[in-house]
Amino acid sequence: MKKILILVFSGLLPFLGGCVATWTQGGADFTSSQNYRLRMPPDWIYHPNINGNFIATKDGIFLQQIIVRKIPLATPLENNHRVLSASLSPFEIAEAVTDDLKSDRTLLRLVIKENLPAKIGGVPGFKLVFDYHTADGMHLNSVRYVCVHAGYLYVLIFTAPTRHYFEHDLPGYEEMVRSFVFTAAPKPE
Amino acid sequence: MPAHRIPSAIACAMLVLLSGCMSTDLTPYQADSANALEPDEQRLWARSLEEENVLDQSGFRASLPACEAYLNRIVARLKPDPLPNGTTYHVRILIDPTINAFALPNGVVYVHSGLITQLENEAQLATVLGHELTHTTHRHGLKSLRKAKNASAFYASITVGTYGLGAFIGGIGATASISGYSQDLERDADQGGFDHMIAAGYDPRESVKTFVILRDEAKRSNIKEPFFFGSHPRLEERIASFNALIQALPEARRAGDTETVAYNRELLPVFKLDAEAALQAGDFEQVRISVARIIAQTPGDASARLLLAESLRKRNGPGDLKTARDSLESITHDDPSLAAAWRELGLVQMKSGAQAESNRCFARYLELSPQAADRVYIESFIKP
Repeated sequence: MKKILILVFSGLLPFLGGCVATWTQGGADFTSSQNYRLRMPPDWIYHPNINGNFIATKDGIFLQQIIVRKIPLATPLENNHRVLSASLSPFEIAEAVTDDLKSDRTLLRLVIKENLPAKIGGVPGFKLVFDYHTADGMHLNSVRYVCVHAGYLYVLIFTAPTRHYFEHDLPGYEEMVRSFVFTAAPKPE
Repeated sequence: MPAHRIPSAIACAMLVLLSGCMSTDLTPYQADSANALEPDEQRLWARSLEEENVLDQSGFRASLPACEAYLNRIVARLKPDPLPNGTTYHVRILIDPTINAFALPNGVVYVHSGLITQLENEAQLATVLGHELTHTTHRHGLKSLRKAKNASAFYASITVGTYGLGAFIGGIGATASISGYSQDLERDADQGGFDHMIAAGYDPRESVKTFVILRDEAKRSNIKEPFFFGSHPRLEERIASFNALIQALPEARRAGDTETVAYNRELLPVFKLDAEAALQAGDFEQVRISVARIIAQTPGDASARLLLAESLRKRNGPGDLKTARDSLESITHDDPSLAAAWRELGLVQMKSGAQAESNRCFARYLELSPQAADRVYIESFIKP
């Protein structure tokens, strides 16, 4: 119970921090300057740009969060520092990304549950499903859709506590993924 | 500051000043004394236990009881002074290809698989373990904690900013346990470890080799601050100081056991896990080193050769695919029932543009492993 309360208060912080005006209710198309368009379900709210990422949640980002990241392909992965390239197949990128997750020392007792081909906005990529624990004992589940498009790695992440929130809020995330389309070919930076 | 809080603030400051008198001149745990843990030491041990629980349940601790038993036998041979309250030493292995080792104040020592794989023999590992055990027996964790407390007490006395100090102390305790000690304490640990190593009959010259290996590995990995052997003092300085320690020994004592054969035999499973971890970490050179250690023990080990082939495919440097293909063809020839080898050969062939060959390999893989988790991927690779 204490952990849940901490999570709730932590999740409320972004809203209390003067960001209220920039959070938007879902239910309508959102077109990003990062060359994609998506639609969040009406009961979600989103922020178009926190540290360059699209963020969405329903009850606070520590209870469930969606992050859409657009990363230049030449940026090394965070943990195994592998550099991806457009010549790699989605399968090979999935290998590199799962290896990177397994090398992440903050993801305790990581279990990759699913790694399957998938399309994101019509572009071939893959879907990863995994769960892990944090050092303070939280058990979290995560889903990632990943693809390479026009020189960038696009990662659509959903993370929520295993208990209650993950299964409950997964449909909203899947709905967002189905709505996701690329709007134009961005120029590599 | 509200008036009603001033007396409590002064009281807090006085408490801190009093606690600042705590001595950092601590006696090492002695064999013939019943060392009782001091109150702040008890808290430090409690924090260590919490840290230990997180590490043990992290999924990164090796489930290799026989290997850990071997490491504990090395500790027994080093004969460190007994810990208080009958507490026993334990060495545990973390599957991590980076080179590191650290001791918690309660006598639990963690050694990374990467360090075990880089070292050549038991004498070299005894150098590391002796060093880490000295941190524990000489109570370096508690010394660091008190030193930090004293410094913060001084700071508090001039700012009267004592709120939240309790939490700060806890953080320091954990940090001192795992992130390294001051230069003086590292030197003390070097000397203590060296003395135990000599007393145990290990070849003292291996201590220098240990630091040479670590220096070379730090250069290769471009590690700036490796925290077992890092900048407290610099590696070159430590190599020089160990050389001086050896020169100070009588001629007859400058030799001893290395136990290379036992080391390679007993820790073979660690080399295997390390190769897998290195592959995930994208450290392809470490994969090569680990696999070489395995092959030296068990020539023709298919799983090790397979890991090496996979690392070559993932690295995909000049000639890597051909080397991987040759090796995998040899593996599948030697053992045609090894599904993973057919899968890897199929991936290499596909990457080389040999579609017909890759189709044949993938078909064989799926035949041998019909329930494969990656079946959907592999089926999509089979093309006319």
